Amino acid sequence: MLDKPKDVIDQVRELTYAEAIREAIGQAMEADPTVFILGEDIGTYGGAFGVTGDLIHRFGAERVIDTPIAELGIAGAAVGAALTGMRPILELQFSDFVTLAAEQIVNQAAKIRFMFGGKASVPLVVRMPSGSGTGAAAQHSQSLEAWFGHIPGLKVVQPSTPYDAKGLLLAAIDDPNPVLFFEHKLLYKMKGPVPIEPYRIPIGQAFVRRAGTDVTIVGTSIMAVRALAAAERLAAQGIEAEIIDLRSIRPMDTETIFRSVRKTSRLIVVYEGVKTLGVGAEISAAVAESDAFDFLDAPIIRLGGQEVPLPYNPVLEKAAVPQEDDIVAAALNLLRKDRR
Amino acid sequence: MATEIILPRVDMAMEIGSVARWAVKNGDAVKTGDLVFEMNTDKSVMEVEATASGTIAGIAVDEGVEMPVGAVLAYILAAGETDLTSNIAAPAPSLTTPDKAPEQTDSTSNHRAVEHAVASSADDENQFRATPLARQLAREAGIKIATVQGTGPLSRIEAGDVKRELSVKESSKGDAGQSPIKMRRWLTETKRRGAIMLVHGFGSNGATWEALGGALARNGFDVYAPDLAGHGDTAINADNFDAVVSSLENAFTLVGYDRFHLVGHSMGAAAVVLAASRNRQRITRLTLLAPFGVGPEIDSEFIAGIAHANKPEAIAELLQLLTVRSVPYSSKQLLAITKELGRGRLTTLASQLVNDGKQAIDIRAELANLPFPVDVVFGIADKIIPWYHAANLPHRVAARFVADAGHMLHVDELPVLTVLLAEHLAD
Repeated sequence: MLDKPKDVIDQVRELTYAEAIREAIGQAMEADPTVFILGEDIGTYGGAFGVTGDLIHRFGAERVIDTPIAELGIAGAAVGAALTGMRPILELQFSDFVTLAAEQIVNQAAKIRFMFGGKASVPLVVRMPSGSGTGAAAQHSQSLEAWFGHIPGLKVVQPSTPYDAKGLLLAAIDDPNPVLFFEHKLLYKMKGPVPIEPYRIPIGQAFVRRAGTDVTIVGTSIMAVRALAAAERLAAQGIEAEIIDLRSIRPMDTETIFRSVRKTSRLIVVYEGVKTLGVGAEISAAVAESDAFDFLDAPIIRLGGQEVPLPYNPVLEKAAVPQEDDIVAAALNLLRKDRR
Repeated sequence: MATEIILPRVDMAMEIGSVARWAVKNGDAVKTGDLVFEMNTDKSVMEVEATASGTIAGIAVDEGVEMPVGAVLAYILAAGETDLTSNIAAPAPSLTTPDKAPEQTDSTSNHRAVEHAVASSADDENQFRATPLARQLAREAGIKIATVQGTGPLSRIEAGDVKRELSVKESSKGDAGQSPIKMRRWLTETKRRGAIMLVHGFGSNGATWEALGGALARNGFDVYAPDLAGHGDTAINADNFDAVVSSLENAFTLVGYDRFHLVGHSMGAAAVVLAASRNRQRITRLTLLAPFGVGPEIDSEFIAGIAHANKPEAIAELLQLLTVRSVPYSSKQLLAITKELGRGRLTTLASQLVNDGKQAIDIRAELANLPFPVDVVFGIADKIIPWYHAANLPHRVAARFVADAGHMLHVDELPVLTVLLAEHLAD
């Protein structure tokens, strides 16, 4: 990708998304003794999705801490550690369980810097596997990022590639404020080029994955991946889609979206969370409020999750969130190539 | 579509106001900009103008009754809309009791009638759905968005529709399919400096301006060129010169600018003067090229020949009289002109323009009274109308002469004319 730092470009090899995350954790722990990770089954077992792997053997059980199954408790421990100057990384087995930890994240971590007049801060990273597609059913498949995007004091990151996963996680660990890091379960095995050296991607900068002129498609995480695949199919039909990977929904890089909409005049927002009151509403409204509004030549389209608890049935599960076909169909409909 | 006449807010603090005097009554025809009523505010009396053209209906408030800002006072019905004039709308609740309470008729049914009018007005609005980008493009190009045919979902007007409209130069369909006047447009793509309308002469049509129109557009002007009645693709016939002038006035309504520069050639110059004298508020300046109507002499055989032309060879000969330069016409062009003129649409008009070998129309009285600058340009080598008619012009009209140019100045001396007009327009 174009945003690779030049000096590390020669030292790139293929890693999976999970390996890139593990490498970021390892490099951060090597560089900074205050960095540690805690979570359920992250030690000997290597993590529910195998992300932490052998970290316990490299850094020992004091820095790779297996915890009881008690999300509120371990989140409290992480917030407390952060307040004392440590840089904890908290892994939750499924992002759905963040609901149990919400008190510590929303009411404590997000607020402390402000309530103590900047004298305390919470340099915490909460890593969570999220999203559907693994047959994990209603309580293990949700996309709850919009919940936390609504909270000032939190940052919410959703990487879509191994390269971004490493660069954004290192930036998140450096960040003096709490960062919620939503990883996508279906992306863990995705391979991609990742530089060996540590590097950081600024949180809050969108990335244009593909330049286009006819329609802007904004997504994060796996939806950016699906949008990119959809764009290739659309190109075969003469439609050049511009794909914007937001990478973080808070802070949100709206200027990149506006710039693109001014160019393409059409906008599709695609996100896995439930459509109503979701990330897409925020993006749509931001465009409608901006000067980019004058450049719209069609209503904004939101592709979001269906208004249902995610089904276990794999066919229904797939139907419940936007797929590549849905993005292609929406773009064709928007440009009305299918009707002409 | 019914347009609401509302009590406007004229300053930030204003909450109520009243009609001081209605300038219209139900059934009156109004045009956009006409005075509709005078309004009392805390501080003064303001004039309120019609925001649409049509027929006044449903006046709901008597003079002197205080109403909240935004109250609907009456409606302007568009042509063809249900006549509501027999239904007096139930008045909106007033804030004070006037000396004489407005007479209430059967308020329930009448209220419903007005509601119906409002509802259908909302439906009509749907006919003019337009995207923000389409509106922006139309605004920038100075065309009325409602005249564009929408092809999007729900007949929404999209940017492509506006662009298509803008690119229409040769098709009269571009005039919303409603106006019988064919209008060519050359719209500038550079910074817009103003608008200009070019009006062709006898036996010609808007296509004569192809080169000049393009040149002016490149100089930053939006250029419009109608086909006059009896000419080109305009379906209206011209049995007399008045029909020509009124078709030109009709063409004015298709220009998306409040004011523009008007250029007329030969007979078109005479039409321009008469039309401009009746539409003074819309015109900034006139330029007349080899004008008809300022002296008696004319090559009457040319006029008769054009009016009765039916052979390409004869037409080719006549056309050569128009220019100093020898202009090559392809046989295809000549056939098209022959076909056009062969319809005989101009024979009656010709007999009105030229009588007994002399020009039968005189525009000098109107010319002397125009309130804006007028420039006349003659070609010294004009074989149709002689340049010395310049001596007959009212003193306030400036005359210029171009050597080596015939009747068709814009063909013989395009660069000179482009520079001249661009200078006038820049003034």
